[in-house]
Order: sequence, then C-alpha cells, then structure tokens
Amino acid sequence: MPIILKNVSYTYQINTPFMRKALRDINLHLGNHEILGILGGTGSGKTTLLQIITGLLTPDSGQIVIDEADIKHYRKKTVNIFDKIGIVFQVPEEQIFEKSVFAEVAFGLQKKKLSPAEISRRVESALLSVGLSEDYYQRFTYSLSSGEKRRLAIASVLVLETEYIFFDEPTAGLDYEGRTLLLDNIKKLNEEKRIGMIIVSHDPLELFNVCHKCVFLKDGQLIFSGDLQAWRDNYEFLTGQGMVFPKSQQLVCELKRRGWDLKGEMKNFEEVAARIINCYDDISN
Amino acid sequence: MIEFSQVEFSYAPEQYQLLQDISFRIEEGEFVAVLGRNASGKSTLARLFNGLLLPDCGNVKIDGLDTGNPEELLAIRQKVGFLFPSPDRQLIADMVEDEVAFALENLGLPTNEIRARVEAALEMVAMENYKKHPPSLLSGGQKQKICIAGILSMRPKYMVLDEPTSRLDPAERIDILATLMSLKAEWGLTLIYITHHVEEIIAADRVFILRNRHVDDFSLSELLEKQECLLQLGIEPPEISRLIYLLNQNKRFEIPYEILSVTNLADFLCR
Repeated sequence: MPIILKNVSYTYQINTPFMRKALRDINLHLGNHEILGILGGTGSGKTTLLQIITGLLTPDSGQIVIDEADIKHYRKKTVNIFDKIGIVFQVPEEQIFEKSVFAEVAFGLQKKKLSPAEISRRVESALLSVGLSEDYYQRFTYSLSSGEKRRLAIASVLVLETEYIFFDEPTAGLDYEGRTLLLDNIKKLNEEKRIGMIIVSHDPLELFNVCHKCVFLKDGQLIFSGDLQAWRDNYEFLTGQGMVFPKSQQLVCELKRRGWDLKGEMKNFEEVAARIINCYDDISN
Repeated sequence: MIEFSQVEFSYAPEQYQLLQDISFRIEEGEFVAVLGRNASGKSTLARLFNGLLLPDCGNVKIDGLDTGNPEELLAIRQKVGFLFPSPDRQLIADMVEDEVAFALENLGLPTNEIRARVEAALEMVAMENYKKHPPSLLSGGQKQKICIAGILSMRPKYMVLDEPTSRLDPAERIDILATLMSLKAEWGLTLIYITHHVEEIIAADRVFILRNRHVDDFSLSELLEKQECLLQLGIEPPEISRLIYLLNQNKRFEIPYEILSVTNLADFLCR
C-alpha cells in the first residue's frame, strides 16, 4: 500500500519572529515496496518531511495517507503508526540507553509477545546486517565508538521488521565497509522482504545506487522527481538549482555533451566504466 | 609544533589497548588528514590533542606545552580548537551570535573585538543571516557550521576537526573546505582533519591512517595508486580515482592517478 502526500505544508515557530516555512505544497507518492531518495541542501526540509510522514509533526495544511487511511487515523491508540514505520533518526546514537548491545536491539521487541527464540533470531539477524558480530552482544553500549553506535541504532530499528523504514542520513559517520554493508542490506531488505523505504541523504551517489526514484527539495519545495536517467536528462537545470551530481555522473554528462553516445542506466562505477569502455571502442573503430 | 611521543592509550587498561606507541610531529601550517575504520581510535586520537584525554604513557606537546600539566591546559586549549562530531553536544547558547561569542567572552575580550570576530566568523561559514536565530531551530548542517564558526572566532593556531562535514551537503562541504584552505593560507592555520571521505582531503600534506593501534604516515598520491590497499583499510578512494582504476583494468587505458577532476578526465578520454 502506498504512502501519499497531498499539498502538504509546514511552518516552524508559527507567529513568532523565527517563523519559517519549511515545506510548501509537497505532493509525494511512495509506491509499494519502493525505495525513495530525498536529496536537498541543509535546511531544505528533508528531515521535516520525514517527521511529517511519521506524524511526529502535524502539517499546517494538506493530507497524508498511509495505506489508504489518513494519518489522523493512526493517532488512535488501536493502530500505532510505529508498528508500520520504523525510523532511523539523524543522530541515532543518542537514542541508545540499554547496557548491552543485545538488550538494546531486543528492547523494541519486548511488547510484541514473541518467544525468546524468535527474539534471539531477530536480534542476531539485525545485528548481522549491520556488521556487528557475536563478539558485540554483551558489549557495554557506551563503550562503542560513534560508528559502532550508529550501526547498533540502525539494527534496533531493523529488528522491528516494519513495513516501511525511513532513514535520515543513515551513512553519515560510517566507514566505507559500514556504508557498503548498510546499502547492500537496504537493497536486500527491499528485494526480499518488500520493505518500502525513504532515505534522506546528502550523498547522491549512494541514493542513485539504491533508490528507484529520487526527489530534490529546495527551500521547502519539491522541485524535481524522477529516476537516475531523468536526473541526468535534467543535469543543467538541477545543477543550476544547486545540485552537485556525483563525479561519475558528471563525467557521463560531460562526455555526452562532447558527443559520446552513452546509454543505459549506469547506476554505479562498474556500469559507468563499462559503458565508457564500450563507447571508447566504438569511437576508436 | 605538535609532538606526540610514544603515546599509549586505553579506556580499560587491563582489557584492550586502543593506541600503542604513537609518535609523530605536525609542523605549523600543515594539513594532516586522519583516516581509519570505525572504532580504529580516530576520535580518541583527536581528544589527545588538547588534553580532553590524557595518554597512559608518553606525552603530547603543543608548542612545547605538555597536555599532562594542568597548569598549561588553558594555554593549550586556546591554541587548539576542537570540533566534536555531533554539533548538538557542542551547542549551549540560545542564540547563534551568543554561541559564537561564548568562548570569546570567557577570554575577557573587549566587546567591540568580540562583535567583529563573531561577524567575521559567521561570514566565513555563510551564516551571517542567522545571528539572532536559536541554534536549536537550525538544521543539522547549519548547526555544524555554527560550531565551526565558534572555533574560528577563537583564532586558534591548530584546529582538530572530528568529521566536520558529516551533516553538510556536497556544496557546503566544498565551501567549508575552501574556507579552511584559505585560513590555512592566510593565518597559517594547522588542520588535523578526521574524515571518511578521501575526496575532502585531496589537498592534505600528509595522511595518517589508524590501524591496529598504530598510526601510519602516507602521502595521498601513494594511497591513490594502491586502491586495493585503501579499500582493504576500509577507506573509499575518491570517485574519479575509482573510475580511473576501473578503466585502467582495461589494458588500452593508462590514465594517470594525478587526474582528480571530471574535466581533466574527460579531456584525457577525448584526446
């Protein structure tokens, strides 16, 4: 079931000198089992948008529909929105409070009436998917480094196995392996468990690699939406709007501008390099 | 000059030593990047520079002042600016300009001087229009910029930055780096820069890699040619270098790794 936003607007500190319109008339459609990327400069409204979709903030106007029910419906105690949507906040390490790594991840499952075996299975699989091995289970949470804490916080959301997961800059502060592992797992969770996701990030490279479609926010307005090909087709416009494309995509656009006939999706380095080599051969012949 | 000699450190001495026998010197005006996996000890190393942590053995000296001597700590902290990875833990004031002025007020500077320095620092990070805003209402990236301004206003001689751009967008990263580079040129500011993004440290004079409790000293060009090593260390090479590496796997290309910009690579391919 999709998540739909219709003409959603939000203003911070309304009727004060700090009043600031954070979102203006946002229309958005997150299809079934889709991964949606949200790009935009700092202060463009990305985090606000996530908070609106999960009901943490109430919009000034507009409508949010989740699985065919208005978000207001989820305020009633009978249906909890957080059974449907898991959120990994911007600074997830600040949500950690249990003593051991295992207990931290298991915490969210306490009220779910699961058997101890099922809890263990879920916790182990969640920790595995963020690269925290058995050695970590009994580690004291405050002895972890910030990168490890981040992995732990992500695991404690993955363990809930919700229908949707929203990530707010999930890879900030992770090392290369941590990032690669997390992104691979995001793809896998989406493909195998059909979990719908929204990822907010500053790094278009990782979003283009995993998302089915990406939107661009600027000053609270959604000014572009499309798949990678559409983004490349609108390279000039988006660059003019302050978008910085990944270098590999810049190269593709630059070579196209110089007359190279590069075609195809070219989501990652390997694909870009392969297309360039093919095209180079064509030109040389 | 910053000098670490035979520094050892552990959070739980009987269990696990995090840093072992670390010795190096950093000259004034240098740009030193620090790379390493999560939990390799980067943030711990950073906290040793201004005495937030003290070594178990060995010593850390800043212009001859020892971080182990409590009487010298004030002087050390005026010389070494420190940026924490999470801005929320660093912000304390309820208005941006107060935040940036906080340290200066404590130094007892005259009001005019404080005003001028706050203005200048906020301009450097392009946040001059937010002077009267409460930091708590700013976005993550904006908070990060305010923290950087707070340190710049102190005019430190050395600056230790622990993942300073983790919440900034690509355009802002470029701006902040440009600001830091120009301060390096103008003030002779020494930068110790912790990051996971090699892209940001292309101008670094030296690269420290933390692994197995030790610091290894490299030059960037050395690292770019050995991409497998870099990836093994858990460090992602710059995008352009990764592309060059993949293209060079094909024997007909011999693209030099000195190329780091899109235009130059396109020029090379179109020769």
